[in-house]
Amino acid sequence: MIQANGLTKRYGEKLAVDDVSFTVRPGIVTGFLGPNGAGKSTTMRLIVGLDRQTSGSVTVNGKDYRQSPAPLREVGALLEAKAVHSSRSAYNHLRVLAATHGISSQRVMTVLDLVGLADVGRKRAGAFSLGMGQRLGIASALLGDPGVLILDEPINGLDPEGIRWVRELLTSLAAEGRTVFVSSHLMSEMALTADHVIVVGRGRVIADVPMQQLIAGASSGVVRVQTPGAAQLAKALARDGVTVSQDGSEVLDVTGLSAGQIGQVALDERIVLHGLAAQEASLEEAFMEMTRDSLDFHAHLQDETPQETAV
Amino acid sequence: MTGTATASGSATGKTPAPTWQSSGSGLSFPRLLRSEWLKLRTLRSTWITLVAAMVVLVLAAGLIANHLHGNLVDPGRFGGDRGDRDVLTTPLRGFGLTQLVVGVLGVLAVSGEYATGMISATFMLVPKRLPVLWAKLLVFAALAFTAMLVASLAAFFLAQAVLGSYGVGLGAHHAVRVVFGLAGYLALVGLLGLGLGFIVRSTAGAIAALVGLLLVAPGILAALGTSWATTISHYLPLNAGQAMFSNTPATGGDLTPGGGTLTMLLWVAAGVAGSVFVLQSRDA
Repeated sequence: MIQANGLTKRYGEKLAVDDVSFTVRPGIVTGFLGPNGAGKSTTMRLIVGLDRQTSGSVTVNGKDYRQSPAPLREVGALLEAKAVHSSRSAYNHLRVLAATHGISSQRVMTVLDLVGLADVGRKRAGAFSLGMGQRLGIASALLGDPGVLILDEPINGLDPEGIRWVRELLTSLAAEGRTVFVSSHLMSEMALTADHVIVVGRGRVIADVPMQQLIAGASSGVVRVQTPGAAQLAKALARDGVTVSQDGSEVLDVTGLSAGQIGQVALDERIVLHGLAAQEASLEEAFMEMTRDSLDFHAHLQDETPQETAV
Repeated sequence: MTGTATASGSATGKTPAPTWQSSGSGLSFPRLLRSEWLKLRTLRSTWITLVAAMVVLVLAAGLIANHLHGNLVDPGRFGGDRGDRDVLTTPLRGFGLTQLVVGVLGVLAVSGEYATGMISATFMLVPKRLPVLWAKLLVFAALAFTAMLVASLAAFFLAQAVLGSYGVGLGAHHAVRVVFGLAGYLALVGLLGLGLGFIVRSTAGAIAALVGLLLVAPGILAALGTSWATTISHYLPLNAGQAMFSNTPATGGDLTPGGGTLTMLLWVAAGVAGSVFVLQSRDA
């Protein structure tokens, strides 16, 4: 359980985290979603005490993380992909972390094996690819078998197989009753992984809802029709509660009618249709819509263009 | 996924699993010492740097002793230039380079963590942070002092062997203090580097500060030549250190061996105080 209450972090003039309050509950995967620079990483650093909040408070399992007698068993975190000394081997890196809490080398081997790095455990961490670095970061988060996991963009740099592995790992960790808090700037990825989602933009919480609700809210209700008789069909569809917008000479976007109703009207009017499709609710678009006002610069939208993530 | 601790068995059920209770051993200072020792031990650069520092001191002792031996056998050889003929301390002049190498090792023990991002992992495990400073100081002091004691003993014995009949043994007046004083000074320079690493964080910046303090500052003060500049220069690490392993009585404001040791300890304490301040006030 992670609880933030009025959490605020100011860097000079800039408010990186602005009066943020939320609760991350155990037993489910909670997504932390927002564009780059929205304050996700800063919030996560505040939770584990790497940065100090300007005001407000945040607790892990009801206590200040800094006071924990066993921090590594309290929270496992992947914050920066390479919080690793590049000259040390993966195995030795984990042994260094494990030693602080008297965790055995046996456990180090177990987590190396779990994340699929057993074969390269003796290699310099500096020679690791981004994906291997992420796996090593996840290994260090799991090392203390903690009840709370905080993962900042864990799928960055992973291949499709790795992404699916992380997704299944997060789900199973949550099923064991752990608190799983995972950030991403990819809505589509969160939709597949998270049970609950906290959306942030410009340091503020924009939404804090179950994933199902967010998906339902994202349904656009738009039906796209492609027809050479666009003008004629638009006229035939015109009635109360129906909006028709012409997008190109042969394309209509219709709201207020189902695809079936539109097809029926077209048949009645003997208009040829080349295409008729309900627009799938685009989560990325809903997300962009939600966070657009909160973006620092519009140019950010370039970075936020969703990369296709294979499923 | 296979093999994390307990399988709750309710992964597919409707009822959520009971909240995970973490258990097991916690953080302790002895464990932190072990972790910091592992950190030093598992970097090849630690051993390369340490061996380099030792080799420089011992090799220089052999070469200087050889030169000194020639000087003592045939005093007219260098046109009456008396030079420094103290058989005890002159061969140990290689410390000038060794101190830099040990100081850099101290810097790297900290700045290496900041440069690679390791420091955030370290402070996440030890969120109170100050125990990390204490553990690093202790482990580094033990390693550096041991290595430097071995090196200064080796340098001493090699030099005295080369000097032949002019050489002295460890039983000679001041010999043990010179050997231990040198090792102590070199280890303290390492600790000074460690403190600078915490304060400056960047490798280049901390090394520049170290070189400035050890080598540049004495030169500037000597160039000024004023009486206060001379007074201050006695208290700089280099001169305080030389007082620690000097074989000649302190004259004209020079520090005594005890005074030199105290002054060096104060320099290290200042570095530690600065480290405590930045660790408590700055974000990681």
